[in-house]
Amino acid sequence: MSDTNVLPRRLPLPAALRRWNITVGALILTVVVAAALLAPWIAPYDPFRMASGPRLSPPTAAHWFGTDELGRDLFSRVLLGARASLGIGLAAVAAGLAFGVSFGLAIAFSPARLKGFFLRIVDVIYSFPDTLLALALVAFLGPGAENATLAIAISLIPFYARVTYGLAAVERAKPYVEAAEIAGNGVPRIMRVQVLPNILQSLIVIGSIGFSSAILSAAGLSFLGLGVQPPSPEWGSILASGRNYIARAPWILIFPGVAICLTVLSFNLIGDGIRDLTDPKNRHRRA
Amino acid sequence: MADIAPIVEIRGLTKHFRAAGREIRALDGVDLTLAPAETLGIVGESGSGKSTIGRILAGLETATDGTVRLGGQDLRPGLSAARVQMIFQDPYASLNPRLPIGLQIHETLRGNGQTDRTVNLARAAQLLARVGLPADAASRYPHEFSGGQRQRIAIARAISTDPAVIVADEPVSALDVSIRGQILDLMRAMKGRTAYLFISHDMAAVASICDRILVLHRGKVVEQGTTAQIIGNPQADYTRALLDAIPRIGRRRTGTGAKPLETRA
Amino acid sequence: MTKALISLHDLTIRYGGPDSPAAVDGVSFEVQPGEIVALVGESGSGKSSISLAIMALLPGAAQVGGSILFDGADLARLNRRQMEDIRGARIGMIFQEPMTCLNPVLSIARQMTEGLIRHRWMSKAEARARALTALADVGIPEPARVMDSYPHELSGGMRQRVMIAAALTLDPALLLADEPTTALDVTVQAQVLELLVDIRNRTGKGVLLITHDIGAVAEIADRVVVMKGGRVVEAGSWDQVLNAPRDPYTAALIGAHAALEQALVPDPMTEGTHG
Repeated sequence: MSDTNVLPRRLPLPAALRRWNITVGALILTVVVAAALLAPWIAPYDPFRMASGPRLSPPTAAHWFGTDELGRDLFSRVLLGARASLGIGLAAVAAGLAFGVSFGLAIAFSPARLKGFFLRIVDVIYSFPDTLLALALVAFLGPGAENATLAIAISLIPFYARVTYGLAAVERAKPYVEAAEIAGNGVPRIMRVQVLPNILQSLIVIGSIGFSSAILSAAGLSFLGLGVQPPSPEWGSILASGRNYIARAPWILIFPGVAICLTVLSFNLIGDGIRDLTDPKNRHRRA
Repeated sequence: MADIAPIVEIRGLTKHFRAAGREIRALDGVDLTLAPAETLGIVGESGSGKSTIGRILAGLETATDGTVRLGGQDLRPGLSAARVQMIFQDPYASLNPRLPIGLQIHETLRGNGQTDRTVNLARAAQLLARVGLPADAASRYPHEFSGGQRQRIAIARAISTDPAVIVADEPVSALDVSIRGQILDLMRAMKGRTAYLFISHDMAAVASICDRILVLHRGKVVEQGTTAQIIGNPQADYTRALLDAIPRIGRRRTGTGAKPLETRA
Repeated sequence: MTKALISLHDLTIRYGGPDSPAAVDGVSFEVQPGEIVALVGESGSGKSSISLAIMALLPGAAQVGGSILFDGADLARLNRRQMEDIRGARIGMIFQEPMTCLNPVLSIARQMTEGLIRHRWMSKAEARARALTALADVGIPEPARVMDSYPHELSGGMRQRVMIAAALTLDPALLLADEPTTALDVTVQAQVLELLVDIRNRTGKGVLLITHDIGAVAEIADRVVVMKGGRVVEAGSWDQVLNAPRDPYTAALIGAHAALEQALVPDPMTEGTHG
């Protein structure tokens, strides 16, 4: 029987899709990703061309999301903006996860004395809100999409390191890891072969949580003019350009805002769903 | 026995832990020797320090004081590798839930410097057959096995490197009684040239497999001798109390022996 | 013959749908006042499910057939509130791991008097006096000191005695002891077994001992119910079941224990002095 094991070896996909939150999250995410990938082909106008229509036009049949203060088509800009937002998010999460997980594992396997020292450092950095940390880093590195990505990646590292440490420390104390240590396996191999596969599912969940935070940070930095530079569209920078027209042309803020909300929501839903699915406490028990 | 060089020689072994600001003496000057191919039982109750001896020998913990010699050499990091293996109490936690059994044995052999995966997997299949598991066991995952079968896997893994010493820490305590005997029989059969340090609170299990028994109480050796001596003619009151406490078929409790306990935590 | 304290009739428990295998399959037995009945089986025998069913602690998805008659009520049919009045007050419970039943942040006094104040409408002082008596009854040497300690300050054996005392304060008719000795050191196990017999002798309560330990069963049970795979394979007096088992599984279970016990029989030839 499959339900006697502690954890399923991999997520059973049909069971995953029976969870409403995963289904809804995946649906939204699919739309956003498709928009980002297909933007150049499905955008009705050149997102950079000014005066594609009248300036500050409300949503019409010709311009679904309306136009901005320079007469650019907002729908096309939001579509292309998805590329930047998702791209920054993906790159930052990938880099943050790679370093964060490595640090977390290293701390879990470091000698007791160093462990406390490293953890305190991580805790101090972790105590800053990650967007604030990213902001400080960009201020130091200088504005731009690449630096914003780097800053967001760095700001995610403490979170990933802390969570990975917690998960790895629990596994490390288990006899199967001790058995591998006794056998004389090197620490890197024990991390890779013994510990990592057993914490991977939890890492996927925290990866998705970090993704939503990264997208928010990217939008926030671009909004402040520190991330993606104009005229390139990004959801945060579109919001920034529209804030002077909030009374006359609220659609400039509404559509990118909704895009940010939905994307963040989709990652949170998927993350929660995977957590529900993998949490042994949520599965029905046998006596 | 005296003219054979011991495989393990422990002198004045002391281990202190700090817990909640208090210093706990887990081990307090323990001496013991283990001859090659001998089975030594370490019996004690919770808090006796019996597991700590095995964990120090396996290199999982370091001693506060005292010497541990393994094969004539002082124990240092890495020396235990491959020469000491361990069988744990909980057969559910001692196997990696995400790794097929064959690969777990491969990892153990790999730690011993045998890196050829094909050779190791063939060896794993052979070992698993020897401990009485089906032919396809190597490619299956731990959750597909019962507690007793998992302990067989743990034994196969432990003997895979042909170690000088196997530390067996409560290897049958988590198993049903009907399985216990089978696992003890298997350990006996798989012994070969390996010496066992058999750690348990279960005097019956210890007596059924060990050549010699060492009784440990609060970090100190209370008594040691051959199994026949400890069972037949225990000297220490504590050993007698331990033996007397074991539930037996053919004895009835009257309810008059309910003596007050010590209050200490 | 006196009226049974608790009687199970054809109890069946399933955790899946109606076609799923039954964890407990048509089990019937009863416990008389003043009797220690042992329900013995290995893992997967269904004995734990029966324990949970008596305490109405089965998960919601479980389907229960048959009946558990106690005090004129069918425990399998009671709602949560009705069960709360019986649990603790009429059926005292002793578990394997006392630490999971004692609240770590409350003093022993608080935990032992709460039930008395709630179920028996006692004043705080009355409840405390009753709890002190109960602690003394289970052989705790300094009951007043133990009353004012917290669970982590006590040894495992002490905690188990406190739990037994707590179960006794409400003067339940039946004690349900689910693996009460499994987590304890052998010397403490022996004490707890003695204590259970002593309580039965003094109070005439019925005890249902649920255990895997056939040695403990042999030492204190009056009657024995042997379970395997959800079914009762054999039931009878301790003398009959242990000395003349009719079922091959019972015989194998006893044999496995006896084989280990055999190692403790001194061999007269090798006895000698040593240091």
